[in-house]
Amino acid sequence: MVLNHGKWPFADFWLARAEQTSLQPITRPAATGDLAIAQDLMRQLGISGEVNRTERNVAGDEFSFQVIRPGRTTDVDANLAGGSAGLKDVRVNAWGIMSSLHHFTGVSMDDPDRGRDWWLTRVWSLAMDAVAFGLIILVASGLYLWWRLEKRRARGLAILTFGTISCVFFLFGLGFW
Amino acid sequence: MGLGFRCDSVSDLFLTATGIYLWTILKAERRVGLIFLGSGMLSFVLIVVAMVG
Repeated sequence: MVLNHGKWPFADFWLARAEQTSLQPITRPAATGDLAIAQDLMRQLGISGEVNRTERNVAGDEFSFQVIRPGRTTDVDANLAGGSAGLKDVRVNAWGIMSSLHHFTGVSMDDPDRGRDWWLTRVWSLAMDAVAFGLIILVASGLYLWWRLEKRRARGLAILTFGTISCVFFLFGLGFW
Repeated sequence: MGLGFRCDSVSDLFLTATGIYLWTILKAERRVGLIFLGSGMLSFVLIVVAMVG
């Protein structure tokens, strides 16, 4: 409902966000890979979450990355040569957390190389798979029970047909096919 | 897009409500249902609390 009605006053969580910036000292990580550098800096800065994106300049002394977890986004701009990191921390309220739980996957269709790098993202992903699997079982067992109840077959067939038609309508209408 | 989301949320709410109704009606399944319901809620809360921090 929050996703569907983002303009409802209570659902517009972005307006009620809290932002905080800070500058913290760091030591240059020994790692060379972007993810390894980001994780080293996260340990130093006491941040945990999913590394969303990383960027560094050609010289390699400016490194920035974003860390996300439901309800909280932290942008880190690290000056590796200067030994400091600027942090911008954005927090949203419970409605924002509810909304981000629907988007929080740790993967991106635009960046297929990016994998889940936070163990809680993997746990969350597994939980979502379990929910999807449960829904498949629910549908399959419902179909089986419906088929066994001969008296309900005609009514069930009508509802099943209506559901299938409306699903296909949305799939075509939204351009998935 | 909006209608699809609405259908999704309404069907989820309907599934949950009918599931809880059937579970309360079926007295023989009440105990195991309570265990599953409790463990589901507990695991959801634990994961969300750990992620939100």
